[in-house]
Amino acid sequence: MKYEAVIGLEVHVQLSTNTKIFCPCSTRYSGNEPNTSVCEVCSGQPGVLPVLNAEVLKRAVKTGLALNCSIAKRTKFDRKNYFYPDLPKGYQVSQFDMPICEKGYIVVNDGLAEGKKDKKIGITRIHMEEDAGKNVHGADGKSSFVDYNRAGVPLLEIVSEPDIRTSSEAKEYLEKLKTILKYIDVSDCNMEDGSLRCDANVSVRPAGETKLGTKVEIKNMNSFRGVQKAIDYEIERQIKVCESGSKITQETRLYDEAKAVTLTMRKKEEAFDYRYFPEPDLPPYDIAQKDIDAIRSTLPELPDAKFSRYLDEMQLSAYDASLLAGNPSLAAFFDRCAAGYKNYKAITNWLLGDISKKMNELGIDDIFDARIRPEHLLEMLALIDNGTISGKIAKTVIDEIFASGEKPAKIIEKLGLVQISDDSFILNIINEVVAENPKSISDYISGKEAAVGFLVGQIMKKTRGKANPRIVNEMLITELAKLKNA
Amino acid sequence: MSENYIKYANYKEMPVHFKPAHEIRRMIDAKEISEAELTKMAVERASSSNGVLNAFLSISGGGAELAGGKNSFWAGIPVALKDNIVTKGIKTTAGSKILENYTPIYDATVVQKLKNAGASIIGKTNMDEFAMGSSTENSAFGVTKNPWDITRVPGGSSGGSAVAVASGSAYMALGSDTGGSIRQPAALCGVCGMKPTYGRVSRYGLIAFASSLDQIGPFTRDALDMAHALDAICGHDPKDSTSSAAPAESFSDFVKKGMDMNGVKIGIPDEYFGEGIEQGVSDRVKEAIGQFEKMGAKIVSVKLPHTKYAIPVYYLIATAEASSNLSRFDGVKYGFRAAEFKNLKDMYMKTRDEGFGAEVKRRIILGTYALSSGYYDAYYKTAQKARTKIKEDFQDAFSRADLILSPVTPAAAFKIGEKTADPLTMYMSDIFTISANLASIPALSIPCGLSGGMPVGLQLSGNYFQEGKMLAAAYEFQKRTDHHLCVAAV
Amino acid sequence: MISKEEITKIAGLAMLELSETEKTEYSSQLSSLLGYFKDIQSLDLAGVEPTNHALVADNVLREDTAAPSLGQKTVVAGAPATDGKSYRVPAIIETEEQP
Repeated sequence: MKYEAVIGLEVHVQLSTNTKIFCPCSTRYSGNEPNTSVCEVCSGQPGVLPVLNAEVLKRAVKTGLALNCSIAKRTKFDRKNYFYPDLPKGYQVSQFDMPICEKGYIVVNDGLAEGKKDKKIGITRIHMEEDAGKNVHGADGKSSFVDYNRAGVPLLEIVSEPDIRTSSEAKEYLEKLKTILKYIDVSDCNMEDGSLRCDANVSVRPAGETKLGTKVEIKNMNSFRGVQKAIDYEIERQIKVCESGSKITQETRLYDEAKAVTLTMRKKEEAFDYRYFPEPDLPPYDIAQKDIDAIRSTLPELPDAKFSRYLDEMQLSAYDASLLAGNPSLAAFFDRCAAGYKNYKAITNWLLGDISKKMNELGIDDIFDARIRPEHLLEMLALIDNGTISGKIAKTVIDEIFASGEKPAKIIEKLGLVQISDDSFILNIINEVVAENPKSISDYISGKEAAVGFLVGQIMKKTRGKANPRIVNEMLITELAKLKNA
Repeated sequence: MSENYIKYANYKEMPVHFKPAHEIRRMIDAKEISEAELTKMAVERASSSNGVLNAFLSISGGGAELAGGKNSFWAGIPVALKDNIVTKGIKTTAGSKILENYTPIYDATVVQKLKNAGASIIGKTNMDEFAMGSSTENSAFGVTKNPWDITRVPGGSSGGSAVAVASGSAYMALGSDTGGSIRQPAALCGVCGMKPTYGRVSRYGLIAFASSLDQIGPFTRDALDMAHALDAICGHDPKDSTSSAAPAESFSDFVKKGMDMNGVKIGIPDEYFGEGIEQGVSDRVKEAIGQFEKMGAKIVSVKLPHTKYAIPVYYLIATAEASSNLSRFDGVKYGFRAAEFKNLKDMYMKTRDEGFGAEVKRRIILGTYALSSGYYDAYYKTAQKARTKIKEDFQDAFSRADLILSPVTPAAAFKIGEKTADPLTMYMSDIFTISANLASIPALSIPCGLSGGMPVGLQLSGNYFQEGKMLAAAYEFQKRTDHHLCVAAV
Repeated sequence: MISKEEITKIAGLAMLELSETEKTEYSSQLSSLLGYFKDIQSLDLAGVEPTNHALVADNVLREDTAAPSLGQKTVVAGAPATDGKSYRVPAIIETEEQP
């Protein structure tokens, strides 16, 4: 029998606000000692009360708009009650039945791989909540240690509809989500450092069946790749169970990355009774249409729109357009260059070619963390166009920009990289090379055109690459023609 | 047998420790007494009586904050705080073993305000554990005794604060009122007590019992002092999202101006004068109604038809919120942790079993039940809907009356141990006070005479943020009566 | 009537280790109290909004501006067990207890 998988994802993203969701402690504690970014509120002292960070509400709305959601007119917080050492108050302030955003979607496959069709993955809801602290396990195995630096960091939980059918679709959904969140600048979205976390609900059913199968929740996946592998494993496991005639157990399973398997964590009957109830310490929030409109007006051009523009208006290839649109910084860099230079293909080639390569070498993720600026690239492109430097020299210029951050003109002057276009000088070199390579000349005369390339190479070598290759080519061919006809 | 109380003709005759704070303020300003003397006297009185009354859980030197607020009304005047109001560096237990060694790392907003006003904080007062109780018998640190008769309860849960004022150890004490925990002990100890409108006073730093019902308020000798106390502690607090931004007038100025009681409509709810009220209580309250009538007030009948649902509604909502609020006491961050346990879960269970007293556990169980899967709609949500009906009752009543007058309790102070065997009977004694918390309205209690030699309280309630009117009416009553001049013979 | 088994389950949610006597006592007391609540079921509450929040103004927010934290020493000082930097608890077995 053929089976179909049904997958829904629950994504938690930490918002990169200055302060925690309910107290003014800083969220920038990375690398600090435990329990240093902590006050009476986020450590759950008796008597404390929460006050919502305005920026959290704003970013939640912004995220909802970017993900095509409808924004609640009225929203409230609820308490989710359970005991765990990383939860200072014995309850998490979250949202239950009146989330801030509902009914949105993300489009996947739009041009990222040509030939595939766009698909909408529904978003059920987005809600705001506070993060828990961190438990660190002691070396002796007898104790654990609790750090509340993370307690109270604002989170958005983004829940998808069970619209995903394959692990690669899941990965595309996550990548697209991450790109959008980075575009709107609400979160760092880094799965390795935990600012983006993902749980998956997976079930299988016979192909063509419309009823949902029993779902299994998978936790503890630490990378997009891990999500993909965990889902693949789980689908295969569930199909095997079905084919053996057994029933799937509703349960929560943990992904073991080292062994690439999922393992039972708890069965449904052990599920928690969270006793949600409205948080009495936080009054509800009414969200006015004018505030929503104001936030909407701050939304940047989002990746889908950018992709279409690159493709349709700028005539980039779908591949290039998706690479640029999929990277908010690169796209911003490109847009700034494109505002001052009309050969979009040339900009793209440099950005996706030598500049990306250089960033990889240096381990730079965000182009704005490198020393190169759009003005540098624009100046360099102009210098190539007016013949001051060759494309080959330009590569050296790029290296130097990354190293020193200096302007291309200054680098060219400093390193003496100006292209030689002086005819008499070049003619002298050509004559030298012709005299030194009689074999190549006779090859050429006997009809081997390839000899030209070798000779050009020799000339460039003598000028250490500084001769204008176009002029070298033209003059060499003229000289060779003279020899041939002589 | 000598009388258990003394009735003075006026404030002048009263010994310094029983005088109202506004009289003390005058004496300090006239240099008839120094702030240092006052604090010394209060600390000595609190210490020497504590062996018998057990009103204080800790007594500090006071006076330390004299630097602040030289020109404020409370500068240099000894005050006490219920031990569920956190004080930085001063042990705060909420009457519970689970917090017996807890020293807060911050000050409650009301503490900050009193310090800024220069008040001399002389100690923390005894209370029912986590404010759960009506007699101060549920404290992990012993029962507080009623100074009028030490075989009787002072009421609760703010029993210690009521006794601190009733015994002349403090001129003002703060308590918290979730279902009557200020008004009931004020009535039973013959002092004034007020639960302000929900949100009038910041709850930041009040160890929460039921977040949607809790409100901090003062105990004082008379209504003018109460106005001064409210002036000092009220106001919007950016740290409390439920604190009101409603502008607060100067209550004391308003009260001092005097109020013409002519034509003021005082509503009497029929539902509050049914069976089960002690004769003496009912007589005193009716006499007080007569007094108001004599002063020109118009007595009207009002209906609060959902009163009979108030007790179960209150106990479901209060315990549900409490079950969540008390989850933070888990032996991880502060306070008590059981000495022996097998693992994490066992640590939680033993810590909470040993750290909480019987009444607290009973309420946590009830509240957890009301919120648990399958019961939430039937209990918690239904209770919140019924709460809406109770609120509507009051809005309707306040469309007919300016103030509502009723007894505070069905009976005067009962004997220690009399009701501990049956917690439900104890719950029933809150019948006249809990509606104000459910409706978020302000209500105060002032003395209105004696029943069987024990004080009786009169409750005045007003609509949201009508504290000024209530206090002024109470003060007009006190100008013409002498019940508040009657004090325990201690 | 609330059974002792139910009380045991509820006590587990509330992390309270109750004695048998307590369970018996609470089961009868809770049953009586919920008995009083039965009266409310006769009330017509259709279409009545629950009072989820007491008298409050909506939309209370604070600016996203950081204030100094209290510091490690202050925060962990009052804990029953610490290593001076973090709160110490009995070893957590993730698979069993993590919510």
